[in-house]
Amino acid sequence: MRIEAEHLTYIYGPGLPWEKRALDDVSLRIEEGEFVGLVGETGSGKSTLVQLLNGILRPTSGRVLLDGVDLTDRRKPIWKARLQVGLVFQFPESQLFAETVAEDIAFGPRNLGLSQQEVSKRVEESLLKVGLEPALFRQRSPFTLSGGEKRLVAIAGILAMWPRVLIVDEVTAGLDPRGKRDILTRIKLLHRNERATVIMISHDMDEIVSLVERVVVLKSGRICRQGQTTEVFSDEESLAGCGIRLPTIPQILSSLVKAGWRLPVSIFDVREAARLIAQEYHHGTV
Amino acid sequence: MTYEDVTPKIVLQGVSYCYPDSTASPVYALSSLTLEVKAGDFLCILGPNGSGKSTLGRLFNALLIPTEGSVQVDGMDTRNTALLWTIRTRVGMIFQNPDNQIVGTIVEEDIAFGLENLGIPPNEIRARVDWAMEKVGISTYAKHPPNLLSGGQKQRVAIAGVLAMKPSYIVLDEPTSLLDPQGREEVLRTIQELHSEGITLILITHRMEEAMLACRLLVLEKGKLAFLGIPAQLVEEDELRRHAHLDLPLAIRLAQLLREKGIPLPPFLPRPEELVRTLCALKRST
Amino acid sequence: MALSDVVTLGQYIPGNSLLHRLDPRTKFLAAITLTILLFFVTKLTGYIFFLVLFLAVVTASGIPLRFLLRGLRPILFLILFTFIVQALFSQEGNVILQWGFLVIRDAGLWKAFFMSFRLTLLVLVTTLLTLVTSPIDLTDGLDRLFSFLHVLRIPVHEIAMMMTIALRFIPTLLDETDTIVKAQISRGAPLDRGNIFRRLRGFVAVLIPLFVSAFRRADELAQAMESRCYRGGEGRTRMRAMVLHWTDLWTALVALALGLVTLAFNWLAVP
Repeated sequence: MRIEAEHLTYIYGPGLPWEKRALDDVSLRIEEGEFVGLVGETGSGKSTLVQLLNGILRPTSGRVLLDGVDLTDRRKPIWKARLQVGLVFQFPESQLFAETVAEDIAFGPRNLGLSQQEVSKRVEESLLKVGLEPALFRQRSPFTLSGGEKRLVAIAGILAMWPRVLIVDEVTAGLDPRGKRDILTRIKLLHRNERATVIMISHDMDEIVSLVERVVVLKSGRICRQGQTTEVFSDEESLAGCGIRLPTIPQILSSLVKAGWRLPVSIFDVREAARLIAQEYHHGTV
Repeated sequence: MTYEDVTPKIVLQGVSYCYPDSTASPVYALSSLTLEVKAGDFLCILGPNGSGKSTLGRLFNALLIPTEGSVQVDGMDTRNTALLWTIRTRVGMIFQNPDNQIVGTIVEEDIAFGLENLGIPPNEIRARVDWAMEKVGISTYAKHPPNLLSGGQKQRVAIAGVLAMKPSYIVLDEPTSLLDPQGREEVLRTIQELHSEGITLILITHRMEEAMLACRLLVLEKGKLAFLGIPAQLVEEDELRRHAHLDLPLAIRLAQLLREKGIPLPPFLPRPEELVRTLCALKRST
Repeated sequence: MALSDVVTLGQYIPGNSLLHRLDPRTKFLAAITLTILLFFVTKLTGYIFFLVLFLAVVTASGIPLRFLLRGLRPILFLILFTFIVQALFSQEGNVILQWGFLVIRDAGLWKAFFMSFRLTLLVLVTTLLTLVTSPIDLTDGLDRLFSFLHVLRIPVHEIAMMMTIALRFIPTLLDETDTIVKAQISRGAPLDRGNIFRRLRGFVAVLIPLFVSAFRRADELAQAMESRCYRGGEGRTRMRAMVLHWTDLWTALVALALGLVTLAFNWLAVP
């Protein structure tokens, strides 16, 4: 599904002492099957933007189009349309409420008015998609799971609604390394196998460059930079202007370049970087 | 014997902890752990979720009392309830979620909380609160309500609250895991300063980058001690790290690969900047 | 819109006005005086004088009136309801309108007006008190004002501490509710559509996570408080000594005088 944002502006608490322009004239286009990273400092408007994209917030001005259908049109009942954009909020495990994992995942599909049979089918399928064995997890209470498992269940709850776009907001925050890796692997597979359009918000640039093809950088509610990952993460200065630091490997390469080494900066793979640095070390001249 | 005669240190002697549970077979969160944390140490506790890290953290200040074995803080046994408040004054504790440890509705009021509990005279409280705020760099927010602060600022408020009580030891239970990169950096810088001024730190974390800053590392696996040594040693323990899901920080991994490719780097460079500096120095000398 | 935009009660707006600087005990007693006064006023002149007095106090506080009035929004329905009930069911006075079994009388209309006016001002006085007094000051003030009840074995300190914590967590929990509501709506929860039963079912999906989280927070907070040596009010000191200033005395005297004047207006004048 194609998402288009046209001149989106969003103001929190208009007319109040703490009025805040969270988003200011943001236009954006995300094509079917893309994997896009959304980055920026805290308070740059990332979370507001994705909440506008899934229609849970209505923009102060501007439009959101899903395959050309206007999500902000007040004359049409849009609640089903906006459910096509599945948004996994920060710490989504805090929304779990049912007695069993299966019941919790079924919440979304039931709200869509699907038959019991269809609902059960989707529950099974979503559990498999997030890598949790249905037979082991179906009947467990979500509150007895580990942090990483809870989060996977919450994601399954969104996937069960068959969204055509998946948005994840800081999906690895607070997890241990294993939980992190499990979740990132699942999201990568969803994108690769199901050709799902994925938008990922993250503060961890190493995580971003290991996954996404294109990056959008926000700063103070405006788009500061956007483009292919290799292109955006090749220029330390302009990124710093957007409040973003380079990922670890490009940061090291960039420091070496400043010291006179002849190296490319936007290399994300550690082996590739090692190969290039060693080559320059043994044969290059400084 | 007076307590002052004892060398300042925390000693765990054969400590096991078992959560009170209704089920028949008791599950040990920690089993037979023996450990000594000397004054001036910076000990980092690593391990996946459920490995017993937080349980261990809570044993240091008598929030939990060991089921078997003993914990002694500067010679004071945590089982002795008469010494409870002395122990807790000496061992400060910072928790993961900054929101859930701030009691006051205004920053300086919160920092005063612990001192008020100790019954310290008002003018001394005032002086110590101002000193602690200065120390962690939050004096400008003294009159702010905590909910308007960023995550990193909130966590520093919590640290100031503990610091004002003039503890010898501070235990930090995943203090950065819910923070953004900037907040994480603020907190790490603050605690490193405290360490350099002689406060003994016990840092519980998931992040290898943070662990590399410590003097000593302790890895827990299923409640058992799996490793205790200096960071450089853990870098060598490939098997153990794989087991405990402790991936090397990218910069250290890069250094490892570069050594394999014949660059004579020293075996352990904890920070990316050091790697860059060493590489440049080596290159110049060839 | 975030929930905290709607609820003004309990939201402190920092400032440096005369009202902000008064001792919380004085403010609390003055607010009580005003409230009691409100129940003694029965005539139009009294109400007018009261209103003028209140507006003067609001001006002195530097809080925008518009902002204060937002505090009425959550209870607008209650005020309207009071008005309608009073207007329709009063049996006094002359009939001015009759439509089927609905009868509106002039005295009833006055009474309805006065009642809603009283309710409105009651809320406004309380809101103003919380807007110009930081929660910690307020609870501190109450703690000290009522500490004599300690002899009656009433746990004044504990109640004050609970109030402080409640006030501290109101913004946090409002934000959290906001997020959970949004998250469940994103899962198609019928919170904003369908009949009342469907909506109620949706609310379960909000309330359970909210309770789970509140309990977790309470547990963590208890641990943090214990770690910082909290053991009740016994032997506790306070950083800030509360000192009554001359302004407090003057305010108390002025409040008293104005109270008497209001009553005089009320009794002397004819409605």
